[in-house]
Amino acid sequence: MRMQQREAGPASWRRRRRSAVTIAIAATTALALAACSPGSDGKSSSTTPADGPVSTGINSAKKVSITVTDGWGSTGSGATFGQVVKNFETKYPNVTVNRQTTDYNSYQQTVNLKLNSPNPPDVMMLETSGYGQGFYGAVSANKVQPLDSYAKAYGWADRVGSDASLNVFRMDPSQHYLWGSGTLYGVPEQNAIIGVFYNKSLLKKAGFASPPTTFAQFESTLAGAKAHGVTAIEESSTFIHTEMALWGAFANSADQVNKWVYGASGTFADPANLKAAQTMRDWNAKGYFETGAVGTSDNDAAAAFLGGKAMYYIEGSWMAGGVEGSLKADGGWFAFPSVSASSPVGGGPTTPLVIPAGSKHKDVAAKFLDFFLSQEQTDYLFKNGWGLPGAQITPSLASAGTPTADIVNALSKAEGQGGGGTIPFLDWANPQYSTQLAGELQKLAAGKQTAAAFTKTIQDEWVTFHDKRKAA
Amino acid sequence: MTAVKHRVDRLDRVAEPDPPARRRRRRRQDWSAYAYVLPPFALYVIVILAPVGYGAWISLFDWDGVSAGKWVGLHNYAQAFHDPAVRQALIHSVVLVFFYSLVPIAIGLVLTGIIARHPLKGVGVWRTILFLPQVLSVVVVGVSWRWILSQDGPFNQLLRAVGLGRWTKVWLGDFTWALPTEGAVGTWMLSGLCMVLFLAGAQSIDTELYDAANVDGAGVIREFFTVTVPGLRNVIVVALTLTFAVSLNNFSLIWVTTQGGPGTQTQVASTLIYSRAFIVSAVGDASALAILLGILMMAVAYGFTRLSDRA
Repeated sequence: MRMQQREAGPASWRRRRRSAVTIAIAATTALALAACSPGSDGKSSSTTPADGPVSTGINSAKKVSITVTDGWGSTGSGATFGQVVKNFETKYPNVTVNRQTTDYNSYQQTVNLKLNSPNPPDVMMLETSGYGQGFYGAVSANKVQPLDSYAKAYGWADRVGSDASLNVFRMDPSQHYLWGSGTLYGVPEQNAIIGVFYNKSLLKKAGFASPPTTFAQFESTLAGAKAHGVTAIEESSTFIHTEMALWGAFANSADQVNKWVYGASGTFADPANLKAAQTMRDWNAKGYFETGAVGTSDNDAAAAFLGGKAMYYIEGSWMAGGVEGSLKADGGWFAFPSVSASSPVGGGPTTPLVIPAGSKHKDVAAKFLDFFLSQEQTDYLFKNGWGLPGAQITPSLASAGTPTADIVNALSKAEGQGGGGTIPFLDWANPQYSTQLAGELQKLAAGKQTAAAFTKTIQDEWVTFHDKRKAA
Repeated sequence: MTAVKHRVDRLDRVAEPDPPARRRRRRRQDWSAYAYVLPPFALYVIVILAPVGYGAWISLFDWDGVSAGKWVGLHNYAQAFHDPAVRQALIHSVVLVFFYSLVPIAIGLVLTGIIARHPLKGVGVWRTILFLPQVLSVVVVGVSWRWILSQDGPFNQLLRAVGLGRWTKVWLGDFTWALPTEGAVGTWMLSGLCMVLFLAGAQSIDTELYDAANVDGAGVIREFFTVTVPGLRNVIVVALTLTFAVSLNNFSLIWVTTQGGPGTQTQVASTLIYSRAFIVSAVGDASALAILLGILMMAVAYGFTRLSDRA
């Protein structure tokens, strides 16, 4: 086990090292000359991709192959999506779809490479909308095809409920890619809202026969659970869905929150958010969360709730299938009770499917998106455990009394007349939040920082990002 | 002690450089030798040097990974020196050096002292068990420990069973204890590696030295410090270099167990680089940090090599 140093004298060492340095410099220079600045492939990046004239027809005599890439993998919902791809090929026999899929985490690392490729995929899943991971970067780098003409030609707004539902996939190139209005760049893969899954037996054990309908009642069920030795809220180390529920509950209107999320105006450090953050801190101090939530992973928290160990689990509607499968008749769902009369619901359309600007078969790619959003495929996705697909399902599919049916009702109420509307996921408001929020919320919940310090940190990051965005 | 010193000197003499005259004569032959080296060297350039060079190039840009990068010169480096997150990550790495380097080497040495001199029954089995953590995938290790140290995991159950119930906590989720816990898992992982390195090294220690020490009246402990430890000096340097690299470079274990949390209590340089490059898409910034970390690691490795030179 002796190290192999000192086989040659110092002079030869130095010489060898010098030649290595020379080679390294030469290699770097060569790369530099070849690459110029990273990301500039000398093609299309500096010009905004043009929208339209588009064709919704398909030439069935001409063989064509498109590439669809996603991060759903090949099992579970990944397999369901794979079936939709096959259904598309069956309907259009001249089209071959080359589907590339990896698991979600690996997908994250390849998104930029795929967008920058001279031969990008024709349909791509991006992880989040807004300024979160990917969407803003790809759109502002002119890598994504505007879809307004396709949306109009195919009537996508009707499929997702209303044109406003697509706002989370819009950015305005004339306002430094301000989010929430302007050009449409994607269509939703899923609808998801934050709500409360509950265990009916444990709620009874806590002393309540039916779920709470007001915020005050909600807090008294928490106290009741604590008094009866029941874990009130199962929580994971991210805390984000509870924060989002509180954020929505204390907010006065969806419009006000959306303006802030979109980056147009407002502040996170307002009295409503301060109260929401303070509530989170108080709940932890009162012992309403599962002990040691700060060190519990999402999966472990979900497993604990599904195993009947806690009364509430505040989570996205994608859990509905799991709850119905595990807790059976014991599982229920209710919308997080609001404090003000017109509180919005956290969530709405998520995960954009986009057409990269470099796609060579945009019309066929748009045909695929339309197929994905069609009533038939949407219902198919829903029936196979996809959660709530991006486009609306046939309402009768959700069997009454199940969490899913309650979620569908709550969503249509929120997005319909007189509802409070929906607000996007909090971590989409800033690229930093995806890594920063969990840590800041852990500090808040564990009592390591005040509610005021928390809201200020979040707001400071918002200002920094939007200053940079406007300067770009 | 003197015998060991003598032995090392002898080896050093063997390793003296060739006299200049001979070297010049051999130089022409060297070129054909280079031809043999060329294919692997080309591969090395393609998979190691070129990416490093490209990384260094990217580090001079403000780049989000998608759009055209903006030249900022050494700005990313300047910022790294003023970034409190970087400072915190490095402090965490220093804490981890204690757990990943010093403690495993101490444990490895003691185990070697015991096993090498006083062969126990079934030594092979013990050696395998102690080395096992090194063979397991880090992800498996991380997931297992996260479960063991969770609220109702075996470790807390053990504490409750022996009446230490008020000490139970989610060890990897506690603001004070997460980093030391992360360190302890590293100690568990790396002690076996150190032991195996030292056991191999101990086999090359001349048994006559132990006899000589015994004749001089040395006991077990004296023997350990005067013969075993000095005899393993170069291996210790190897172990130091390897474990130091893990302390600075450890990504998988931390990512699997805590992702840098709670708060930023277990954030280390490599997790910081990963999240900046792949989650926040600050690729230039992340590249600058990666280059700095690389330089730091090379400096440390070089320092250790010099240390072993002098031995």
